[in-house]
Amino acid sequence: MTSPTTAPTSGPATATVTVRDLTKRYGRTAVLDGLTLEFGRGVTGLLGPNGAGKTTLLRCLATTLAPDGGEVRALGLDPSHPARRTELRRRLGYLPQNPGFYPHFTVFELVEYVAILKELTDRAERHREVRRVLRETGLADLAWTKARRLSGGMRQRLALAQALLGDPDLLILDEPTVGLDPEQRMRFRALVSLLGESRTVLLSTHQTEDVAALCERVVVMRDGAAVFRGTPGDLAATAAGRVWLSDRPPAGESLFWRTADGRYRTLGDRPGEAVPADPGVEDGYLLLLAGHPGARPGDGADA
Amino acid sequence: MNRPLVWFEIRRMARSPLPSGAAALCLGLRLAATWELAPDMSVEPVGTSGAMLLLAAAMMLAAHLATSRDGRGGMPETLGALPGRCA
Repeated sequence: MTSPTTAPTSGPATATVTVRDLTKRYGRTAVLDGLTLEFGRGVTGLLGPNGAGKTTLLRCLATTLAPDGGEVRALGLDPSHPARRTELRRRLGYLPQNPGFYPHFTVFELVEYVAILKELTDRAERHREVRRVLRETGLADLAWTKARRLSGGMRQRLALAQALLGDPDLLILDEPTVGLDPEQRMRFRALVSLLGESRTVLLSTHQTEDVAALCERVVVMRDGAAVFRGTPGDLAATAAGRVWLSDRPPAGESLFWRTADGRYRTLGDRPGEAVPADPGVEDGYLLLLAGHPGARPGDGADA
Repeated sequence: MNRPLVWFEIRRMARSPLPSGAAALCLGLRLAATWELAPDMSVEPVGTSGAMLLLAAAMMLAAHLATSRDGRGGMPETLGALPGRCA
């Protein structure tokens, strides 16, 4: 077990991203409050409720937002130094929460425009790269469709396509599966898990299934701090003995919901006549956020 | 990076309906204004230049729209993480 504020999510020798005592305030509100994290290659999931500071952390790592205090090192580069920041930008791919589009651009034009700004100067090479990322995101057939005609899921894939340009060493994805249908989500998982074999991928999401399926490590944030670091299995294990199935809804203020088979899944203390159920990542996450004593902040082994 | 970007914007401007529409309008206006007149080459350059102001205005409008893309809810967050941005 490690301390909740300084535990690395991978060994320091393999850490490609290091964040120490990171703070960011908007007015009087501390969005990041002395956050310390380390993680290395592979896919790291970032979970947390709205307002936990996930997007702010990702923006600091993606160099689009300067922190108020603390230290960030990504791929060994300090983004507070202008030359290092430019070097880092050459090696990172970023999918923001609200990517935005130029509606009159075609899919190909839009990705090519980003490719130019990513310093892919050779035209033939750039076009090859644009075609590659469109193929990988399943947009090759829509290359000459205007962005305004794309559905929400297609736009999300377009945003992912631009993030993949130049084969980045560090991929920062802010809620990438929003709007994707199940088939697209499966394709996304396959793509990201492949990328995670040789790169560092940081994925912010509200989908615990994505974390369970994709991530080697998970960080749970709340109120600008990391309250859990470990593997998805560790997070699920924090709910062991605290997940129950019953035929009737529990009395009191327990956290529960009705499942598809008509039974009630309860988190926390055992309701009467309930049988224990296998805990999942979502159970661990919900118990952690509910502040249940069975899921102590900081629990979980290092990945 | 600047050269590919210039070519990219030229290609986009060439495909934009603004300059081509303005060019067609210039030509149409000049033809309508001089249809029944023999060309007077001493004043023709002045008239043509005047008509071309319309084309120039269209080009400037297209250029302005290109430079102000992000101000219209574009993709500042995406572009902010690219090396081509100096911020």
